[in-house]
Amino acid sequence: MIALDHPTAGVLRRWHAAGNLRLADLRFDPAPECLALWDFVLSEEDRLRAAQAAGGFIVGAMKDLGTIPVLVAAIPRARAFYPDGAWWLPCLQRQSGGQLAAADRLGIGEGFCPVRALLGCYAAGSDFPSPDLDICAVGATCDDFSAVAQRLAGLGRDPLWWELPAFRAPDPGEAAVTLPNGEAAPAVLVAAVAAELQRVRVALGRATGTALDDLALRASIRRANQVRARVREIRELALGAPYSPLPAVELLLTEILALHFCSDLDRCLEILDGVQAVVADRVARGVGHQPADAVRVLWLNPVADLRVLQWLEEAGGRLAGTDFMTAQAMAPISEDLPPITALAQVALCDRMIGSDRRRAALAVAEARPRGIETVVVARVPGASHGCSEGPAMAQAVATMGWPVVSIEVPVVADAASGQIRGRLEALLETALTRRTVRP
Amino acid sequence: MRVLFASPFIPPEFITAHGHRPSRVLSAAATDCHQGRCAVAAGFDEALVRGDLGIVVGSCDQMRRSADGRVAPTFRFHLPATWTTANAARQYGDELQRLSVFLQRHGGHAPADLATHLLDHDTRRARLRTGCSLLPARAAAEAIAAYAVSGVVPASDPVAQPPDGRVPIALLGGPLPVAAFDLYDLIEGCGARVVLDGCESGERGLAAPCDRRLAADDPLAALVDSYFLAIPDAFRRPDSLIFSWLERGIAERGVRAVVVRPDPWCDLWRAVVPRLHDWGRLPVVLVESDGESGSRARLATRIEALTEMLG
Repeated sequence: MIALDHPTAGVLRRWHAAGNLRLADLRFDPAPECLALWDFVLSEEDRLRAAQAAGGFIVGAMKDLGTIPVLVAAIPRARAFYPDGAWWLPCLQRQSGGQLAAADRLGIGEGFCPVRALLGCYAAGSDFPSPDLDICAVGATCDDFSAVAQRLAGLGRDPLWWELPAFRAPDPGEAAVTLPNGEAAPAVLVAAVAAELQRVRVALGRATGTALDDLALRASIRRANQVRARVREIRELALGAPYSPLPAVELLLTEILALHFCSDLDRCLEILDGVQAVVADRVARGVGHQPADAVRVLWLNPVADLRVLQWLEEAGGRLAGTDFMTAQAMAPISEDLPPITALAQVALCDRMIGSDRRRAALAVAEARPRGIETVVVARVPGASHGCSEGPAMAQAVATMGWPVVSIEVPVVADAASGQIRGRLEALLETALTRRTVRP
Repeated sequence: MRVLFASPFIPPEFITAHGHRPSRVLSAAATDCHQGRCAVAAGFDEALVRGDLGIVVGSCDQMRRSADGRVAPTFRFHLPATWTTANAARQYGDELQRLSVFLQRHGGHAPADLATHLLDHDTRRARLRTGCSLLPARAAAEAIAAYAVSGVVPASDPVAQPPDGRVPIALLGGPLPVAAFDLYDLIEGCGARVVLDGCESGERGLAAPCDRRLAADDPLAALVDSYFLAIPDAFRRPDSLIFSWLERGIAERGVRAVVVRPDPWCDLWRAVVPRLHDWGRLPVVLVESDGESGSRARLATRIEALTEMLG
C-alpha cells in the first residue's frame, strides 16, 4: 500500500489539491488500475458538469441505489448520479467543504445521518451540478433520507417521489416469484414496484422528450448487467481468495460503481476490466495485501470515514463478506422479462427495505462459505435504523458463535480512533483465540 | 381476539367487521429505551402479549424494524409514503385486502356489514371531533384515547368552554402517550391552550368524515378516502397535507402558533420543524421531552416565552 506522496500516486494528488484532504491520510493500492478507479470516482463531478454544459439531462436519483440509473442510461445524453454519495464528502474533504454546516443551517442537524451533506451541496450548488430532475424512492427507505429529501422542497426542488414498499415474504398460498437473489417475493409486490417504475419511466420520457421504449431499456439492462457481472466477479475473488487481493476501500469503490456507473458506463466497464485483471493476476500468483491467516471479517454497512476500513486491515483483519447496502445493484437483471418487471425485481433485492433479521440472514448466508470468523456492524451516526442492526446481526450469528462488535463511525473518525481501533483489535484477537480455543 | 395496532391508518371498523376486537396502543415503553430506540415502538412491543394479534404499520424505520421476533402473530402493513397517485391508493387498498385474509386466518370471519361498521364509527368520530373543538385539550385527548383503545365515545354532548384569554396553539408531533398527557396541563399553565391537537394520538389521527354514499356502495374505497387520503403525517411524501391541515386550523380555530413535540429519535417529526419555519405562517417552538429530570422546566420556559411573545 502507498501513501499519497508516493510517486506512483501522482494521479490522485490533484484531487487532494482540489480539497479532498482525507486522501493524505489514506493508503492506496499501487496498481495503476486501482489508482484509475480512484481517479474515476473522484472525477465524477467534472463529467456531470461537462455533460450538463453540453446539453445533457442530469438526473439526481436518490435512495434506490441501483435501479433508476438503468432507466436513465436508456436515454441518449442523459446521466444519473446519486446525491446520496455526498455523505462521503465531509470525510473526503475533512469537513472543509461546509456541507454539514449548511445542513445545520437548514435545520437538519447532527441527529440525522451524514447523508444530510447533500443539502449543503444543493444549497450551495457545490460538489455536483443541480440535477434537471430529482427522483427519490420512499416507502421502506430510511427516515433520515426521506426527511432530508423532503427538506429539498424548501430549496425550491420538487422531487418525483416513487414508492419502494417494504419487502415481505409471500403469505401462505399467495402467488410468488423468485427474485434474482434467490428470495421469494409476492407477485403483487413486484407488480406494485413495476407500476411505480412505469410512472418514473413516463416522467423521464416526458422530461427528456424520449420514448424510452422497451428496446432501449433492454439495451440498457444488457449493459448494466455487464457492469454488475464484473463487479460480482471482482468481489468474489476479493472476498474469497486466500490472500486478500484487493484492499477494502478499493472493494467498496468497486461496489459503488455498480450503483450508477459513476455516470459514464463505457469508462466504468474499462475501469472494472482493469481492476478485474489485477485481482485475477494476484489470485493466480497467490499474492495479496494481507497474509493468508488474516482474520476473515463480515462487514455490515458502508463507513462514513473510509479510513476505518484501513484500520481493520492494519490490525490484521480482512474483508471476507460485505453488506455495503449495494446488494441490489449487483444482482443480475433478467433480460427475458419485460424490462420494467425485471427492474422491479432487482429493486426488491434491496436488503435495507426489509427487516433487520432478513438483512442479517442474507449477509450471513452469502458470507458463511468464505470462512467468516467475526462480524463488524458499522453504525451510521444518527441513522434511525442504527439501533436494531447490531442486535439483529448478533442474533443471526448466535448459532455460529462468531463474535460481533458494533461501532459507530463518524465522518472523520480520528478523534475516536483509539476507541474504534481498540475495539477492532480486541475483536480480531478474540477471533484468533477462537481458532485454537473453542468456547 | 384482541387486535393491537398503533397507527391511526388502521381502521378499527375493518377489524370489527372481521369479528375481532380492535385496540390501538397509545403507550410508550415504561423504562430502559436504549439509545436510538423509539419509546413508542418499544411500547407497542411491550403491549403485545401471547393471545393477541398485532398489526405493525411500517410508516417509519422504528416500527418497520420492530416487527421481528414477536410472541403474537403479527401482520406487517406497508403504508405507502406516497399518496398523490393512483398506485399508492391501490397499494393501501391491497394491504387492507391482505389484512382481511390475515384476520380471517386467525380466528376471524369474512368481513360482514363493513358499511354499517364504517358508518357507526364515522358517527363516533364526528362526536369526538365536536369535542375537540369545544372541550379542554386534555379532556378531548382523553376521549380520543378511550375511543382508540375500546371504541367508546362520551355519551353526553360536550359543553363549550368560555374564552379564557390563553393563546390558541396547535400541538404537532407523533403519538403522545396517555402517561404524557400532563403536557396539556403544562401548556395551559404557561398561558397557552391547545385548540388543534396535531399529535398522532389526537385529532390529527382521526379519519376524515366518510362519504356515506360511497360507504354503502364500496366501503373499502370509502376507507381509502377517509384514512389513507386524509390523515396528515410527517412520513408522507410530499408532506403538503400537514400544511393544508394547519391552514384549516388557523381559519377555523384561530391557531396563532405551533408547538412541535417530536419523540426522541424521530427524524421524521424533527425534520418538520424547519419545513414549518419555511412555511412561515406561524411562530414555531420545538419542545423535546426526553424524560430526563429538568426537562419539564425547559419545556415550560420555551412555551412561556412563546405566550409572552404572542400575549
